[in-house]
Amino acid sequence: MRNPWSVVSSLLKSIAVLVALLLSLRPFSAQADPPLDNNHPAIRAAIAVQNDVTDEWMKQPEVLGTSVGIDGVAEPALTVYIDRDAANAGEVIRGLPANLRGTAVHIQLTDKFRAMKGNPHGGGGTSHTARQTPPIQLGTSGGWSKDLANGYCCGGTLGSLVQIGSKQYILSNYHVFESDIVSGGNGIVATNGDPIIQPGLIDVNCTASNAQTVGTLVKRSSLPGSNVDCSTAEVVSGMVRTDGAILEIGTISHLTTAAFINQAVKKSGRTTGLSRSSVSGLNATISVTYDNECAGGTAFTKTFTGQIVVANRGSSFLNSGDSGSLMVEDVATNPRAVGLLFAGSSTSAIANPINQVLSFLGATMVGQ
Amino acid sequence: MILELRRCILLLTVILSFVGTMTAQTSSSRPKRDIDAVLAAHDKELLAIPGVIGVYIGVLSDQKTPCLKIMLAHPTPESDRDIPKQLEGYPVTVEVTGEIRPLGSP
Repeated sequence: MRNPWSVVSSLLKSIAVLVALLLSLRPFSAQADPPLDNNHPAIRAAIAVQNDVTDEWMKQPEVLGTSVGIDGVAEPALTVYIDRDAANAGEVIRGLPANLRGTAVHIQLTDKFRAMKGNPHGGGGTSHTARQTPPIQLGTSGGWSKDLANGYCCGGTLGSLVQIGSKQYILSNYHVFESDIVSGGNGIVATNGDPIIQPGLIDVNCTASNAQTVGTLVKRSSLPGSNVDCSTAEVVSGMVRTDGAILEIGTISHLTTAAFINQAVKKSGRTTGLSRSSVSGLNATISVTYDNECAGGTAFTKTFTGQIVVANRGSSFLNSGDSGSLMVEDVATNPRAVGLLFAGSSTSAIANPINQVLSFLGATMVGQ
Repeated sequence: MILELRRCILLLTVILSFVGTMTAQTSSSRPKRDIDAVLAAHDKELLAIPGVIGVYIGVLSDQKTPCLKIMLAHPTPESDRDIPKQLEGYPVTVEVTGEIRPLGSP
């Protein structure tokens, strides 16, 4: 009978030899590699594979496309885009190889690709960008009347109505109302008393005289010091509905509620109109970089804590121009506020918990 | 007969000790403290990893198991290497979210 230690020793030796052999087969990546452009041999090999298989694979309606790129270990790979909403996406994925002629095949689930034409009217036929007859409803395009610099104009969403003391204020974001903090490209900075207009400059050809003044800026300087991105405008009498009604949502509750995972939520905003999603995460610590004016340089990077994360596949819930929207629970009547939306990417939207915002302002929501 | 009984007792002892070992292993990987405290204790070190722009509390695809989710602006060698698979007993998953930016101007 063989000594068990000699068996283990032999096994370890075999593993060591195998590892050494595998390492010797790896390309010498430490050497000066040619750039990974279309002339790189490995990229050309991947493109050849792509050319051979794409037409055939795309006969399946679940396959939306392919591309050649670099994977997580800097090796060329063929990415196959699969319609995440297709009923038998899983079956199609199982039928694809992990590797084809030495090129790794990666699967990426995605929404259907679409032309990125703007949809300023939202989904329900209600315009969130048109100039309204006062008193206006919120969830509409708006912003600082002088938000024009460096050849661009900027804006966002007049999201909701809050009460501080005996006065009503439009609630939006710091970066929508008052983030112009350098003379820079327009020679001015945001100042208390400046007009807040509806629609925002972005929807009136950057000409403030084509919009109407619905509030006057009351700066809160929430950033970079605090943990919320908020600002306010004192309502000009008669210009905003005193019940705080929001386009396609209606009146809300004066009460708030805390977010929870998988909570159904909705919002009404300038760019994507009324949209729905669900809370995917809580207590987020997130870094966000801010400009010092419209299309300006970097002012600061703020790390927020305790934020709400919302699923935002393909920016369908929140997109550029929706900042300032109020996120509420998705119920039909008088929904309670959950968060103040302010940032995101094409996968995730971020909201300040509304109670943090109201606490910072010493405010309450205007609602039933 | 006695021999048979001895064998049964021996088998039972082996099974019980195996189960005891497994239980001990399971309990050692069970989270010891609240996930909020775990996030608060580790968010800074995670954000220091190049490519990481956020970390939050979510659930796994079963929609119920709490986990820590790491938001990546883009994958980096450091994010591939340094993000742990779990922290203090909680699973850690990675999402490539792209940059998180203020959504003011179109």
